[in-house]
Amino acid sequence: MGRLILTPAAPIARRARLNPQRLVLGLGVAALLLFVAYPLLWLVLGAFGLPRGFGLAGFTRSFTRAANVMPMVNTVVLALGVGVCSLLIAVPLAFATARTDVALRRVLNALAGLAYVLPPYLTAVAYIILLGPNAGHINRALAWAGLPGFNIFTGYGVVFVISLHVFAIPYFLISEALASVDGAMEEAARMLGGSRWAVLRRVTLPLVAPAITGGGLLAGVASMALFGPQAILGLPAQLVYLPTRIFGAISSYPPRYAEASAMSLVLVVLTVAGLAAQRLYLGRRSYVTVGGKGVRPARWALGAWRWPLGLLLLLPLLLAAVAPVAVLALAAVSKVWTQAPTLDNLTLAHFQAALFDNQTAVRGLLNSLKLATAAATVAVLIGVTVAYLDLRTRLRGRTALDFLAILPLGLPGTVLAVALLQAFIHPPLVLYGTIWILLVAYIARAIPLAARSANVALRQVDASLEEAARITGAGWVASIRRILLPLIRPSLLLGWLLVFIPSLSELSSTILLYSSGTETISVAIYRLNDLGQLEVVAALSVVLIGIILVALLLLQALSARSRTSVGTASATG
Amino acid sequence: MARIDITGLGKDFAGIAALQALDLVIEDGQFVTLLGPSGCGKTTTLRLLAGFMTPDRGRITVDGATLSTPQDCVVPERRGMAMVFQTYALWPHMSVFDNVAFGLSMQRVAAAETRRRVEEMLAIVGLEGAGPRSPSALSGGQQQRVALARSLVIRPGILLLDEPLSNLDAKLRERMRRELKDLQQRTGITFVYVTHDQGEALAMSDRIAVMQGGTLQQYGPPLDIYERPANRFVADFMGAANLLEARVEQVQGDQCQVLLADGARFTAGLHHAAQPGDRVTLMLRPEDLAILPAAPAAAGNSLCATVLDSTLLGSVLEYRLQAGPVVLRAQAPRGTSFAAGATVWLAAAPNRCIALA
Repeated sequence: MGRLILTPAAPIARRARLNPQRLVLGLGVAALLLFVAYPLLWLVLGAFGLPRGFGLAGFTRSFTRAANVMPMVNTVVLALGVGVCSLLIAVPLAFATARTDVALRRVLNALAGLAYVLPPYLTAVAYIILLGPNAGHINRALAWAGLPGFNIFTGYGVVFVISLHVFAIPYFLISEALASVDGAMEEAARMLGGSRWAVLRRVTLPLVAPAITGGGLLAGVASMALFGPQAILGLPAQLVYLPTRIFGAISSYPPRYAEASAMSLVLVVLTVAGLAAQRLYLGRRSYVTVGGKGVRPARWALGAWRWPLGLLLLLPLLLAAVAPVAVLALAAVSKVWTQAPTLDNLTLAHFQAALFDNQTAVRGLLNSLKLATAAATVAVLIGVTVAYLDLRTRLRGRTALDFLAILPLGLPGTVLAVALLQAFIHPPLVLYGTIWILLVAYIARAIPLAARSANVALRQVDASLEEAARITGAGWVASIRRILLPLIRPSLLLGWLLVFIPSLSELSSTILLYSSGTETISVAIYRLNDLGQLEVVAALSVVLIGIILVALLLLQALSARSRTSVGTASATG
Repeated sequence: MARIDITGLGKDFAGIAALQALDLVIEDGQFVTLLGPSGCGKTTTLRLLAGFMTPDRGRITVDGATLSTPQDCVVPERRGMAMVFQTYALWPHMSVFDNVAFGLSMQRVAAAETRRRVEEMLAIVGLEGAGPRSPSALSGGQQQRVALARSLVIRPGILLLDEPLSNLDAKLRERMRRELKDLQQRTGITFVYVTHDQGEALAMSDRIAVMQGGTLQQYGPPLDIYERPANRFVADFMGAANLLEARVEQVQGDQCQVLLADGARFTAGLHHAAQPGDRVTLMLRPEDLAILPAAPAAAGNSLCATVLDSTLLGSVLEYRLQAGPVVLRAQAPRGTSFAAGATVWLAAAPNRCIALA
């Protein structure tokens, strides 16, 4: 047979002058610098009194005034308390669901997830209804039985409510660690004569110890940043934490920016110290088999104890996820929430108020939907850019970008808001007073998670798939549009939902950055709660929870589907 | 026409030269293999050719047109090349047909023409009718053929192949060698093939470039490289070789006489400048050594050894023998039997012995 193919059809030409690659990637980098680096710069400058002057007054006032020192102490105590309480809930739950055949495993696991996505300020409102000093349902029941009540407006109350939210962090970390311990290690110990308990104590527990300690640390760190429950339960009792103290310093007239910035830096230091400790601890002692290969250990048969233990473990989850939703739903349809839910106490008027009549609530719902949608979209785009630069290029400084993208993890919402306020309240870029500053805040908060999911997505696509497109004649844009994006689309959608859900209910930053007209659903709930309109708050909460649940179900369906499609992509790529 | 001129090509990673200064001319329509152990710079060279990397030194030209210099690098899609990847890099979200048609759609070839050329190409690689299937539903060998079809359908001047056979089982690898060579000869496309498998290189190439440590060790036809390796590395890498320390006694043209440590004398080919008294390495291939039960009649080109053990390689038996301080390997037909501990003589014809620098 002669020559089938004669001359090259693709012409050899010079490189195209217009470079869309640099344009797109440059935009992503610029956004990251503007949304994260620039505000942080202003936070530090602000702590030194700039631009009004220069001095250390902000710091000296932070560390000398009792009104500032007490919140620091309270915050650390809160973190320690929450760390311990979270582990008390998480450790038995994780071991039971991962290693035994306890009843209700799937229910327990799902409720833990629900407890985590439930905005913690809603849990706080729900516990006012349940454990308010005189009127709370449980307290009234206790009084009726002649027992002393429990006041939720105390430090214990704050620790309790926050723990019911953040225990999910150590729970999922420990579950994951337990799932990835190679069962062969445990079987080996059994073969050598170890009893179940001995193996648990001497093999399994040491293997997942880093996850337990790390999880407790992360829970403590997360608790420090939760403005909502700290304000809703702490402020009425004059119990002040750093975020609420910073909020006070900014809301006073005139705003005390230097002091707020200096205390913000203290909060950042506490947060970063906690995160660094967790990293170090986890990094140094990670024996867990990555990828979960090997033998899956057999579940421990509990026999007659399956149900009793399952119901016992269900109790904290009822308190964390079911009770808050139930009491909020009940209050939302009650004329007066303190009255029993009899037929003539039922009404839909509060939904009428929340969805149509109350202008703040209506605006808040619309604004939150708009903001969360836009923020999730922009954050995912920035996340893809950062991940692409990190994994597909040898660009100098890409590690710095990566760092910048995870930096907001160390910034509690309150701190970020203080930074954004100072960055965008004066020229060159004045965003304060508009909805744009909220968008920037939401994007900045969402970037770490978005970048993480994009990174995971991109890692699953071998670079040779794009290279194959390039060498077959596709330009950079075509290789992205026709190869990379279709392959990572399911994962990106997943990441989008992951950041959409928290953005929808964001309060910590919003409370400092909103202005009249740019209220969000969280602001509406917070302010109506202040006004004591608990029934409308409850109705609005039910709507918010409804939207979150829909997004959650979508997330579940998507992740189930993408898991199968990713399987085939890695099989051939 | 696609002749590649590589001059002074170099690439550094983290300050370390992965490729030092490569000079290589690949003639049009040749099958050239870049061969070497991992880290030798062969894959770097291929990726520089493809335009996935910008060189730090040197230049690549194709038919006189400069494609790569440190200052300017034509993007991969404008180089008129195609590439087959080690992992095949088939797109899992596209059917076999769409995979193959991709390059044509980038060239805006009309639908009917695309269909005709894709079908034709699938037939050439033996995959008629596989168009609607998903690549993940195919076997490794079939995926390999899809990757080939996808590369060839755009009629590249040059096809780059990055260890394309390494993921196949031994039988299939053997068959694909033949098919690749056949395809190259039928299409006349310049093939640049990267592998660490010397057997593949010997079987398919018009020329082999043996690389090591970022530098070119030898470039030439397979037989030349096997029979006249330029240095110890090439001798050792290309098949088995016994390497013995020796000293030059006499030089006569491209032959010399060398003296081994135990006093044996060998006449051997000499392909570098040497003076009497120079240290050299005498290379003896195991298959070129004859095992004799008694001393040969003619003096020279033989040495005395003791049998250690033997291994059946399939078609031949390979003996390990102790000669003074060194252990040698020699092959003999099945049916011979030299007992362990027996004293034998090993002889080699002068034209099978090489004195290496």
